[in-house]
Amino acid sequence: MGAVIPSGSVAWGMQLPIQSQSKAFVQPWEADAGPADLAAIAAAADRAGAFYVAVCDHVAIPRPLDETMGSTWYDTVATLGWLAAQTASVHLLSHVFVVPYRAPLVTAKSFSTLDALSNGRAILGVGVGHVETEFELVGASFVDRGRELDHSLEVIREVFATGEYQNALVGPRSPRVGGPPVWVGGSSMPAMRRAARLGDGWLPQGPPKMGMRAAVDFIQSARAELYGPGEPFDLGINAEPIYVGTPDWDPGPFVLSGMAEPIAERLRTYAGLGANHIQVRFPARDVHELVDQIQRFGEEVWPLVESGMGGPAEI
Amino acid sequence: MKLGILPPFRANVASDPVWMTRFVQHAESVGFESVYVVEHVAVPSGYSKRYPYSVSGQMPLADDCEIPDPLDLLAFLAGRTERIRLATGVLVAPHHHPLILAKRLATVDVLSGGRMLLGVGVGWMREELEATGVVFETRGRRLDEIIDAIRAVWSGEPSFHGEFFDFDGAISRPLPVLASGVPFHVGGHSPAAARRAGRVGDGFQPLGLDPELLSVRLATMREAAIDAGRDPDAIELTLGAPLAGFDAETLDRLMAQGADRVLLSTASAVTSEIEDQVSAAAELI
Repeated sequence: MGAVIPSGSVAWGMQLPIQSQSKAFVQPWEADAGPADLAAIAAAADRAGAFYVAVCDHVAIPRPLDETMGSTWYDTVATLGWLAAQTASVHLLSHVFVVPYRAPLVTAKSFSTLDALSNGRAILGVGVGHVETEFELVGASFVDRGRELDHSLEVIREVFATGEYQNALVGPRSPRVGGPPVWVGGSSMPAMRRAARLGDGWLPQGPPKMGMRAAVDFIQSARAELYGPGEPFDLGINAEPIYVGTPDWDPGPFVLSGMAEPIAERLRTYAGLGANHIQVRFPARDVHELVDQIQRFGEEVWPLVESGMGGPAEI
Repeated sequence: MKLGILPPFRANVASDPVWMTRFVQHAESVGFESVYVVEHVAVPSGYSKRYPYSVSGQMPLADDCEIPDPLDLLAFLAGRTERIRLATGVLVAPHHHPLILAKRLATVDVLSGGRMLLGVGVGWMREELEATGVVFETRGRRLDEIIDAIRAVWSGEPSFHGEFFDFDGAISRPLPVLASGVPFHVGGHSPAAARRAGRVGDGFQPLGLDPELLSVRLATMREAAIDAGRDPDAIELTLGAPLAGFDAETLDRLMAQGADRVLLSTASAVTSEIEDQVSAAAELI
């Protein structure tokens, strides 16, 4: 498929709450929230101009990891498909789909279906997975997960490009040439190499050990070596939590809060490192505050990021 | 009597969001109880001609007919509808791992407010099952394990030890809306399908049987239910009929055969024609 973010512009996206409730990041209000809240948040992001909303993936949580990872994780593609029905232009990203758990033809069919039903808004974010005992639950090999992902991507790409695999019709045909883009997730060296080699984009999971600037250089030079210079590539970065305005409560550590311009300035710095999509998140005490923050970010902060970068690119 | 509707897959409309939205919203608005979708993960060109529901042994689908993923399609339709049940008829269970299937089913059920209904079958196309790594001859035993394993996960017993699936301590949330889980209807034409429906099914969806053979299978289903200590009358029966030409006489015949639901299959993809037929069918109930 190739890069999908318009050349010269920068985009923002967010992981959705409620659908994954790891104790590492869940906010208290999410426990009692449900599908209607999830739809309201995705619709707010869609209206605010987000490039993507994202849903995570764990097929089951092996005990005793539920004590730290929580137990509520919605199915990735079902959730994205349901949201596709209720949004107009935001892309639907798996962040990230653990491909080695699954039969690649089923994955290819799922994302082709999502892409067809959403009029070409699916993005297949992939990863190798990290929970060894979860692989045991589904009888998949943890040590072979990297090779399995590489092989699966060959199958999936063939289906995306042709609708078929080895003379078998899989489909449905994507509305886009080449099908949904593949963004490879992970901040480890193998993940960054795989992103450069097989991805149309990269989704970091936190800052890489070498630092963000070095990671961007690493991926860009690996891309140039493999595919020649200047091939567009959608390179991501994670921002710290953002609160637009001054909270009269404690939103937690490392939160970027206050006036729109200083927040925008920080985000421009991230784009200046060579990233063209920024993942943001918004601490909130309930769904209404979150919807309000998303709206304010879209209206007040993001235009300043774009104008400071020289404005949105002509498409 | 409940009415279900199957979209015209052969007209290549099942992955068209505009067409499907209009079709399902219309069926819902005139009182259809359910929409059914089918599954084929991959259809090899030149597959062995063993389709059990046509004389030619070929599916009534063109070679280039697109079949979207059933659960992802139902999830999308859940976001466009309010009341209509979202059903598979059938999902080819042996393609799937029970933990992954449990997660997908429960998610569609929760997102749709409890509207998921799972019709399952073992599949009939050897090449297709082999494409996802399933040994064809194991498909029946796999389906049995899949049903048991999913019910175990939903009942809060997170362990399962079978021939094909083996796990301990698997926590899967969200759970389906009802404590009884998503209903499982067993589809198929064989004595094995009838026995399975009687033994473990919440419903039975016999496919492609003439009236005589149907009554044989229903007797088998009832006998298996009684042997398993279950009430055979509580097993919902879904029988099929073509939408075109569906009339009071057909309805009476299906009711006499014991149907709780009639699943109407469509051929035309002409929207106005199909909507007229759907509305007329709903008026009969």
